[in-house]
Amino acid sequence: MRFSPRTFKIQWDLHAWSGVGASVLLFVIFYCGVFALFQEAFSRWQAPATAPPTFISEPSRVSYDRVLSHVERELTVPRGATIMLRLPSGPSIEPGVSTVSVYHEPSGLQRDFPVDRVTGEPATQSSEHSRLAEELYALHFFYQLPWGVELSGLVAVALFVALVSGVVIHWKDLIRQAWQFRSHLRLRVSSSDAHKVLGVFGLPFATMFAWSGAVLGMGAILSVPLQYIAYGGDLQAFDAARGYRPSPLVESGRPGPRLALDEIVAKGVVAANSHFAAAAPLHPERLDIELYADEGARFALSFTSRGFEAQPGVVLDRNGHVMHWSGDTSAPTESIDRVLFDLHFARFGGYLVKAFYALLSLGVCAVVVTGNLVWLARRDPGLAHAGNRILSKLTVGGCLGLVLSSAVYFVCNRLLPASLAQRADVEFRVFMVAWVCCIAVVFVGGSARAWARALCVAAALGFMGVVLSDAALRWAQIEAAFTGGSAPMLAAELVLLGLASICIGLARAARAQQHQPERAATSKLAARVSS
Amino acid sequence: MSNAPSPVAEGLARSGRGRADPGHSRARTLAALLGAPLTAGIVGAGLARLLPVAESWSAAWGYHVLVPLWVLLACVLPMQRSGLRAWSLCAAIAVPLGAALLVAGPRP
Repeated sequence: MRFSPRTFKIQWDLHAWSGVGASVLLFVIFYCGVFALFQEAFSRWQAPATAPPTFISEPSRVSYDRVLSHVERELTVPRGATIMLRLPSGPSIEPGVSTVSVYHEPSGLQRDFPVDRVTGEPATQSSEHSRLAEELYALHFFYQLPWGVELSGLVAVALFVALVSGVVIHWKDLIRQAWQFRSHLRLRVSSSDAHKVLGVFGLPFATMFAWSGAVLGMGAILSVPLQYIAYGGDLQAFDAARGYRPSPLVESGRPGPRLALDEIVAKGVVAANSHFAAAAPLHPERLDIELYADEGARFALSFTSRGFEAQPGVVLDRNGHVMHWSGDTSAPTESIDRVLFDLHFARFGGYLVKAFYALLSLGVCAVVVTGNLVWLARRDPGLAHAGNRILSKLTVGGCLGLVLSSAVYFVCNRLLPASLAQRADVEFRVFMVAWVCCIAVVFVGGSARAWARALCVAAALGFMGVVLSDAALRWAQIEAAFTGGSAPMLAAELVLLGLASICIGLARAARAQQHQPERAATSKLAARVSS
Repeated sequence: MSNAPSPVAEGLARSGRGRADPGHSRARTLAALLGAPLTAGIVGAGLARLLPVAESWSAAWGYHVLVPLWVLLACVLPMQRSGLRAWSLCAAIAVPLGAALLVAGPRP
């Protein structure tokens, strides 16, 4: 099927504008997505060499009451607040930091408390060794920015538009585009080929991420028309229809005594293991206290689940009596969300799927960068327009600068002294300053291509240096963890090794392209002959 | 078989304004940027309220149709011949649905 020239031109422009407009943000999202996939591995990796063994093999005995008392000491929790305690338990737990979140809509209260997931003790910022895994994960959806999550959702919509318009403009020769890569030709042709080959191969993956990312990032905004028009502003009724709150909360306004949290959780575990006998033994993953300190308080206990399976859960009252179950039947919205989110978070297939996702994510990064190169080569090869000069420098400084600054972040993690005050903050600031410096130096002067090569070489050296130093100084720890059944440390090192290799490859490609002017005449001739 | 980039693409890239001139206007671009999400939102609300199926299913349709419809409209609206036509398309979808929603009121 061929489209009219007008349709083609409009879709071409739509594809170009939506892609270029969101390009740098998309690069950040997909590049940080690699670290998000391996967040657990990097959480372990970032810990000091003197950290406890890779995982705690005895059943976790974190006291929920003790954790709550820490929160209550730090903050006067208002009656009716919601408290989310994310404290994974079970036969083995990776050490790290979990978060206890407190929300109270009427007062606008929203606070997070980091706690050690093994001991349940508060993890104060000053005692934190590193937040590398958490910060790179958060950057995946711009959590550090106000409205960052919504921005990431909007960028996902832009990606979705670029994908649909891209399919329209290449519809007539989609299959041919998947295989045609002429690396020997000049940058304009080779980057266009790479853009199309990687774009076609990554199409299902990118489409899934665009859709699920838009729903994840903009879920609250997407709900607004449904909640206010179809449900007259009744959030509880809307949530119930989607299967997220099977029965409405009833706030009495009176204080109500309750059993100890540990007792309520213990009752919930016993009841759930009997109710979901086929999935037993179940281990609590999260406890949500709704209507804190109120007579109508509820305790929603969620258990660990595997990908694409409904998460078993039970809601108990303040005396530990079961109010209702979740996870045995699912509402359609909840089921669709579960498929979208489990695909998004790669909650299936283990490290093999994560590695595949990581490759595809880096493929999307390449599609983004080559897309910008195609835009520049076709629309303004001489960079006469100021906007295109900015795009050219932002593509190199913003995208490859992020790669280098992330390498700097990893190097800092290994080099900064453990006793440094506010160590985790210092690390993050160095990362951000390095990124800003990369953008600044590219803008100050020099050829963007030369800077691209320099940034790739520096990033490769950074990643490789970290891997080699770990191999020399921490091999025994990595090996012991791996033979003990815990792969995260090794997985993290392999990701860094992969990134170093890709940076070396990119630096070589950039060097080859620097010699292209000499081969330009030959390439031009070859292109003419092939057409 | 030719290995060169598509002649149509090459030709259009070089031609600038011509037979394939899409004549981008501000009104039409605005329709794609603003009209698309607003219309999709009203369609989502309309499906959630008016679809004659179980409430859980109408909520699912209303919620999950939003993003694909937004994207579809963002791709289709720029194809209209003018901004007026693009906004008219939005209105043709949103106004009857909005009226039906007003008459039906929120879910009891």
